Amino acid sequence: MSAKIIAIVGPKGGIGKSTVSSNLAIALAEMDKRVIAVDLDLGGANLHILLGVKQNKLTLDDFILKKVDSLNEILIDTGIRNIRLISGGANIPDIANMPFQQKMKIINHLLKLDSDIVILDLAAGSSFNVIDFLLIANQQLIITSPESPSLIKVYGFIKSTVFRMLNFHFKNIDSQEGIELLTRAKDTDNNPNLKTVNGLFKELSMTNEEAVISAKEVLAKFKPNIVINMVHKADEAKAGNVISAMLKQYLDVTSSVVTTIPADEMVRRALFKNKPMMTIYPGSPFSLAIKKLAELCI
Amino acid sequence: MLNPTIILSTDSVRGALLLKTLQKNGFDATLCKNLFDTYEIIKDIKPVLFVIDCEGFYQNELSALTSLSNLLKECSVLVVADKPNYSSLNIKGLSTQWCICSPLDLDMVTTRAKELITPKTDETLKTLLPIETEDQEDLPEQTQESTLEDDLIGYLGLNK
Repeated sequence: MSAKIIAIVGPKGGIGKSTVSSNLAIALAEMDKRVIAVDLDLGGANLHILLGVKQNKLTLDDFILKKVDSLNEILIDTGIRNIRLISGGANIPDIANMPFQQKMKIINHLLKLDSDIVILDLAAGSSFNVIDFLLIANQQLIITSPESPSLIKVYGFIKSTVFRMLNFHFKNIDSQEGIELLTRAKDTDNNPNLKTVNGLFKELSMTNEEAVISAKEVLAKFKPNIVINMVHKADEAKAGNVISAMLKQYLDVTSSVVTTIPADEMVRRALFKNKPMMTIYPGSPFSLAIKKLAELCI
Repeated sequence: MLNPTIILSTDSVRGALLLKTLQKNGFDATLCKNLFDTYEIIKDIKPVLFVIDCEGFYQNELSALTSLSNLLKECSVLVVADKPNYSSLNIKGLSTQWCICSPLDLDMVTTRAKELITPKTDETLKTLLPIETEDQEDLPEQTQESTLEDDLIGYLGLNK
């Protein structure tokens, strides 16, 4: 049976994405799930540190440089029961911009990993690599803090993802009108009617109704889950509802706010100790929220 | 008195560590070594924070603490334990925070204690509740939500 893949992405850097990834891995492992955590923050890998692994001699670099044949050969035992790690490399320049074929090779091997759950800790930003890794997942967790700069990045990231999905789809069904509309939609000043995905579909329906129906079906499969992290006040959590409503209104994406994670001073302390929160502060508000998230993930 | 605090700990070493740490961090702390003393001292001191160190207590003994709830109405309760299995310590009507650590982590206790005596803590804990349980009729929050949406729409150039 193939593993369930959970992709964790935080379009804005520094919002606790890897901290959530590492602790979610532990929470799932404590629920007797075999977990493989994969650090796909290429060029900026640090998941091993957050899982308390001091030496990561074998990394994704070794796979990319063909020193090993499969990802199984670079699996590291984290010392935490049920969790193995594929550590991201940081020594290959420009690895974050790897060629398409290289990325496809990694994806093929990720899909073959033997585990109950595979957690992909993705890089910040909206690069094609991040989006493509996100799209192979069964479940996508979008981590954001409740402030506007982070929410704007979430919107931009989801928009890029939607455009990439539609671009692939229109190429697949050979809809030149669709591809052309996507290109025009990038300039919303001159094409205000294409500001929303529904506007784009409306325009496309005039020439190719079938393409619209199939595109909507493709888009309906993308249901990202939003996690609001670093919440200081209860009402800040409502930022999730705001961004979720905007994603529906403008991008026709159905998302759900799965949980909120409180800002917790102990997270910083755990980071200084190079130990996961779930291990040393299991009763903290952060850890309790992560456990709740883990329950929602399985 | 600044932040009058009572620590209940039957373990003399842990009790002394908690006492010294909290005193060093600005709490006017008093150490109690048994339940009877605690009852008397709470009446005198009227603490803002009550720290219960579960080490050395039997669960049945701790359940007797619920009888103190009337005296602790204005007080936050911080329960220090090695695991969260002291179900009898859910004292109704009180703001109770857990500090699960084994071995005793004085940094964590201090952080939790400081959070408990500031208004921020209540808000932080609220975020652990499901969003749908929050008061949907709170007009000021709705206004804030509209403002955030307006801001985002403006920043993203989605307005007409």
